[in-house]
Amino acid sequence: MALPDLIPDSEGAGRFLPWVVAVMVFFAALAGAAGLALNQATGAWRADLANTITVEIPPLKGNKAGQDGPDQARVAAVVKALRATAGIREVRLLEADEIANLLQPWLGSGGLIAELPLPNLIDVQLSPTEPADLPLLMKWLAKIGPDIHVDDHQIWLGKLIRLSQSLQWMMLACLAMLCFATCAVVIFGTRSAFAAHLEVVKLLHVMGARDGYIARLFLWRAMSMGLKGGLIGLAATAAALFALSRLAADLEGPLLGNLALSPLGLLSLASLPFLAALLTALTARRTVLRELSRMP
Amino acid sequence: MVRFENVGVRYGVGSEVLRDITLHIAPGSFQFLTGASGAGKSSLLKLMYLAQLPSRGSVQVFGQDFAKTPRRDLPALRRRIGVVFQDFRLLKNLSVFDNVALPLRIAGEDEKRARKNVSELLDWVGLGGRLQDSPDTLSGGEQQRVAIARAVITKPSLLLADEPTGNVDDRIAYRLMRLFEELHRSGTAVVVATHNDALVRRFSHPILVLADSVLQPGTAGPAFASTDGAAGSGRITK
Repeated sequence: MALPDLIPDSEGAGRFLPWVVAVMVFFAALAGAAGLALNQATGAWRADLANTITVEIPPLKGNKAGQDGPDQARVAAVVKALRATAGIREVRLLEADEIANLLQPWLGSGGLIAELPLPNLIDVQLSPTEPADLPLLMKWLAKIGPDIHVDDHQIWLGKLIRLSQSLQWMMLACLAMLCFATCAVVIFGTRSAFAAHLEVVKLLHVMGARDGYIARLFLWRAMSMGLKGGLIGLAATAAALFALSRLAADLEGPLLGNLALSPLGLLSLASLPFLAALLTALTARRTVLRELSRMP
Repeated sequence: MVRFENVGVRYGVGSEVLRDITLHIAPGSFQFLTGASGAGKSSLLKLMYLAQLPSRGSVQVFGQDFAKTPRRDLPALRRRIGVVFQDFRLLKNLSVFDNVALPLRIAGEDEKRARKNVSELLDWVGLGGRLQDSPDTLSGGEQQRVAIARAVITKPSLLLADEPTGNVDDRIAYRLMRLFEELHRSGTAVVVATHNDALVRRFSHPILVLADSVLQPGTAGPAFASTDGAAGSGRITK
């Protein structure tokens, strides 16, 4: 037999539950979206830089970048050494314009950059299948010039990943706190509903209803309200994320380019209302069972 | 069926509302429980329908000691007891039919059989034409008949009625008592708590009298011939 509608959901403090769950799901979805986007971006940065090193050849005193002379001889020697090294797929010397473009955000587009003794930069793509012997390569390059520096981006990438991971842990902590707060609100709301329907509960108890039967009445009520609130919260999140994505698109930044969520990420966010409904229902059930355990 | 041994009930730190209650309700018996308002009739019935644990003493229902029975086994015992309340306690958001069907639904009965039983029972109490009505649209007497139908739909072995005639006039009260007698004739043990002495005198059933928190032999009706305890002993057996 179906459960009769004995616990109307429009009575007591419980009627605010959908709105509280909506707010919780909204913030949880925002935190989740940020965490997922960061995770995705970190993965992309790691993939982009994992097979890349940059060789920096500082200019000798009195020489400017692009000028013929000892610098060019050092560059040619380095390129030759790189091409002779196993595990290196591509070697590309950055043009002076490209180096100037990299510095432009910090130094401006005036003539200052042209006056500076800029290093020569060589972008080296490593083979993903055949590992290169970087320590040996560094030894060779040190013979050409002890000031020649090989940057495998690990320090920069490490800091970035640590920052990203810290932020992701914070997002997880936010989610955990939101879950905790939701449970607290559900417990309060369920106790309030239990008190409001105590006469019905006592009657069912006297008729021989098992605790599970009575708890199910509250469980379905809480699940219905949790799902309603969760869907409202998700709709609000969708609107907020859409607005944010429009703003981010205007920036056209190289880092923000990776922040779009994957289909799996979107599916995770879409599951939040159902998870919220489940959490609400199970918390309500547990709360009712605890209250009922005080009855003989 | 129901056996109390030196039972006492105390709420919080106050004095005992029931003291040294010893009684035995035999299967298929009919018993009145009388006493002034506040004498402890409702507390005594609560013990019988397993809604209140005694503070001391032993309460046995269907051979099971209430205090020692595992909590998970109590619902099965409660389903063998029907309870009628003075204020009916019908659920306003359910129809007459659904109110009466509720104990069957709780027990997980088959819906088809439940429909047949509920319809027959409501016919028996004279409310066959009001199945889908809301309890709010019924008179006090009709509501109490629905409450009685709900209490007996599971064919309980024990029917407890707490002031069932308190909210109806004398004519309806007499008719309700006749309903209880019919149930009694079908083998159900019935205990009716009431402070309506005039009504009690119209029937020849044993009487339990509660006074000053203690069960005493009553003074009204021929039923006292069947009590085996001396005055003041608190022991009444049928």
